[in-house]
Amino acid sequence: MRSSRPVSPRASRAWRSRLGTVTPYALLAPGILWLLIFYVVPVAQMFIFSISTGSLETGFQITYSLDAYTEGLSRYGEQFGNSLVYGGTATILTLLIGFPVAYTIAFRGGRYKNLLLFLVIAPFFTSFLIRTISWKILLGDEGPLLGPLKHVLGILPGDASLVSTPYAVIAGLTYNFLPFMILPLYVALEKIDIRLIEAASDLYASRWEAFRRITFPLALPGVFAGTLLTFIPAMGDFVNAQLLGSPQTSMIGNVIQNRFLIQNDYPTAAALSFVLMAGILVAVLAYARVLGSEQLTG
Amino acid sequence: MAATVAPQRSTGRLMRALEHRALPVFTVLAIGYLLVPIIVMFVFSFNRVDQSLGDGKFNYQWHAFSLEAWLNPLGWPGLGNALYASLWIAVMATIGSTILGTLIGLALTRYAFRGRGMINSLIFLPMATPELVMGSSLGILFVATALPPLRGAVPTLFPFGISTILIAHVMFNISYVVVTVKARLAGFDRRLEEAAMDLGANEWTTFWRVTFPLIFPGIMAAALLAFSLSIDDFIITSFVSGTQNTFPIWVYGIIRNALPPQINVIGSIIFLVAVLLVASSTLRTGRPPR
Amino acid sequence: MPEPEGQITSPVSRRTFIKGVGLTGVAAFLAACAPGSGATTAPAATSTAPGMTTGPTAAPTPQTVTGPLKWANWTAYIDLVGAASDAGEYQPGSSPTIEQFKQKYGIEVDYEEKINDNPSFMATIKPALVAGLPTGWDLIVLTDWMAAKVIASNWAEKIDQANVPNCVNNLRDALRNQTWDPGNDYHYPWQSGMTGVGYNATALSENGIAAPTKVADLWGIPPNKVTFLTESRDTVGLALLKLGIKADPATVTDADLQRVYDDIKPLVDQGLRFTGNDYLQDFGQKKVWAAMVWSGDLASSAGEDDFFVFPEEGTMIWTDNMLIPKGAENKYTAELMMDFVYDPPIAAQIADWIYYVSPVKGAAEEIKSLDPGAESNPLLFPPDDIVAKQQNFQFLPDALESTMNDLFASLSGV
Repeated sequence: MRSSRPVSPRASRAWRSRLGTVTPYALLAPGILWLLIFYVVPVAQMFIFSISTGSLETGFQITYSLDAYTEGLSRYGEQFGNSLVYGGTATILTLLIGFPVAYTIAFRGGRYKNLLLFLVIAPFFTSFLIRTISWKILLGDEGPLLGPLKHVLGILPGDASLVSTPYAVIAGLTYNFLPFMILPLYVALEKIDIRLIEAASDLYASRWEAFRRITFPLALPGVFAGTLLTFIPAMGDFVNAQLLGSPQTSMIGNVIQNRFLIQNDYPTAAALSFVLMAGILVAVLAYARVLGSEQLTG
Repeated sequence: MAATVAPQRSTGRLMRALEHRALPVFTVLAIGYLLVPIIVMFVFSFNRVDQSLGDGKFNYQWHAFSLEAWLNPLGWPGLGNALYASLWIAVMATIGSTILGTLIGLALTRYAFRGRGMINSLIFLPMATPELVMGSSLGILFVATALPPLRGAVPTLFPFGISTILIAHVMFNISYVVVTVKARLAGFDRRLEEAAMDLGANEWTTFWRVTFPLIFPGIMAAALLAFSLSIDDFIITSFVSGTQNTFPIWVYGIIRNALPPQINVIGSIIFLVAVLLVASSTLRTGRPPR
Repeated sequence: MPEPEGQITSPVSRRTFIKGVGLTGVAAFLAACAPGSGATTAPAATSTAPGMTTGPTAAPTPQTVTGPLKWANWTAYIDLVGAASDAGEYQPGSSPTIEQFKQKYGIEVDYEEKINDNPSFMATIKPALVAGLPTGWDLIVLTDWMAAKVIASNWAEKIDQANVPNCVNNLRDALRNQTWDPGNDYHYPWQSGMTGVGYNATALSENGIAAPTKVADLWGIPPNKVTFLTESRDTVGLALLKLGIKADPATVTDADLQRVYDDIKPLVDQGLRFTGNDYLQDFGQKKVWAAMVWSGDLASSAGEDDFFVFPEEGTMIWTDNMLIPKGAENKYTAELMMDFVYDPPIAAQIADWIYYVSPVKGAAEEIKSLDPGAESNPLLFPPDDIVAKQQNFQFLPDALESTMNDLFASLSGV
């Protein structure tokens, strides 16, 4: 349309620059509004609920009461602890398993690189729930793993079980989040210029030295991203603890789910969620500082 | 100096052995670990679970080979409806979040404007928030719209149902779409657009004829990601679904009383379709989508 | 927002015809002349517009069959196709009773086993009830104590007795005149049952443990192989009996509850879990050796080596009741369903599969003709010595209830 109507270059530029200041906001508006209404507002509202008292029947009033926090924290310290221990252990395990795998794929994958990567992300193509149920079958008391150990080899006593123990919960978390660790590690490792390592060897660094001084530091952004992608969802998970655990292995996610969905106790659910979120944020910032990485918002 | 060389050599040999022998073996084992549940799912989709033959209702032990579940993949009350709802929600959430996310991605990579840092943080935050927190806070918001003081002041987004699930899915998908689209746009050569403009194309034409085709693979990758996140989501959905079933919600409910092999069949079909989609896009672009 | 479930399309002429049918005797009339007809869409009362609530007095029930009827029930609580019934005629997992209802009234029924225990199900519908919005369900099944609370909160639709002649005539006398709803204005019983002990005979004998005969025997089995119920009235009730305390809400004290807590806590520390109706999954997987269970489930839905015992100390007795939650979109159809399952042959068909105690007069005779020998099944017809030891721990004074809830929450780790 503009091509058919001659406009002086100056006017056009002015029009375009005005347009240029409006356009980005117009493009942002719908999506950002969606996030504001359905992410920011709920989180803010959750905070308001956390300082309210009341019940569904009587209605909730903002009383600026911190009861939900004090009660939640004093009562559920153990479950917070479980989340930290299970989530932390699972994160460390995924790092220990994931690093060698990512390293191998990045440096020794050769023509199988794509196939191997594909196999790493294959679990994403099945349902999270079905995968966890599969583990329940595999780790079951009479399942393919324990059954033979009990009845064929007779190594284990009949009441031995893996399901309902912390080990099963940690195993489930480790399994479910392992690809989240491997992928960012691979991306970071793959970027490393192999000539840097060769140069180190040329300068008589041992392979271990080269790894410690060059490969690992360059992989740190991947370690950072992978740790976050594993630790955050693991801390907030309740499905693994529910399907593979017992009351003894309740994580804070189970408590929040119970308070919200079973007791309609929104103030406590909100306070616990808020503590969890704040705790994770603090941990992430501290971790970022330790690693000295600014990759966070990249 | 000379004294330290020998031990270094031997650690070097050890490292070399480790790298050449142990690492590949370890990797294969680790990948096997990742694939075991999928293999279990696939194998057990061929299990016979016929209560009238004394197999019970749970697909936990192997009974006999049967094609029954594959021949009748929706043969369990409620499964068809749940799956249909899941597909519908995933398609709609994908369309919604891909449009909204792509627009944000365009704005972030192509324009300089105030508040960019804040927008980046706002995009990042949902990915760093535990699903549980997003689900419960959104659930509380929806409930609150039906209670005083919000009631009447804002549209009531309650009782839970398809629309609340859809709102939640679009919300958590947007960030992933933005990140994926941004990655594609980051390597975009603006000179191509300038060339088109120089040749007399207006902005609109330039966008549709030059820009869009170039970023289209990125948009498709984002849409695929959004679809797979949506169809598999359980945690957030469980807080906002009410009486509405989706496939994961239905599975979670049915396993209390029965584990029909149809669950494995649907899981296997979803898996195979996803594999085919990825394989075909890999063949076309020559690299795996991210 | 388009709905993904296909709405049933129906021949308009028949629908309009049904609309014109008068108020009484509709069920029988429809049964005679409307097979295969479909749902009518959205009568005015079903609008979900915000702010719209159903008034304190029940709106006149539209006398049209609408659907799909959304029915939430407990696990293994209706006859399902399987070992006990004809597998060839219906799809696996479906229910002959539901299929017959669908055929008779030409309406879809969305029957879902959504109730795992009373509190967790109630929590899913409570926000809607408080806000005066439809819950999404037309028919729900709650145990006495919860049903009483719902009715007291005015969260149930008043049943139009003219639509449920079978219920009016066939409800067993023992279940009439409940203090919390004397005229059955809001509820009709679904089934009664007992809470006792269930076990897997194979697992116990393989590990050299005798089959339990008492509640106390559950304390002698490795706790990680035992589950108790999330339904606190059942677990606490049986635990009281185990300690030799009568489970009578009028006499139980806070100190008694504390003794129960102290008795169960060590088991929890060693891996005891609490389950709702999903204990069936654990039995299906051989994950539990013994558990607190409800009387009929193992017989209907578990393996051949899973058994229910009436513990020597006694059992807890309860009744689960059908209610129509406030704002139900298909109230009339829900009433038709209530009436349908109070037809003695249908009641017998259900009871003979689920092994619970039917509230329907005349069901006993029908069961005998359906399944000779069933009349001696103590699950269906508890003998006098069992009945003598049944205890009702349903209706607790507020203070006792709140103490119990606190202790129980602390036991179950959430």
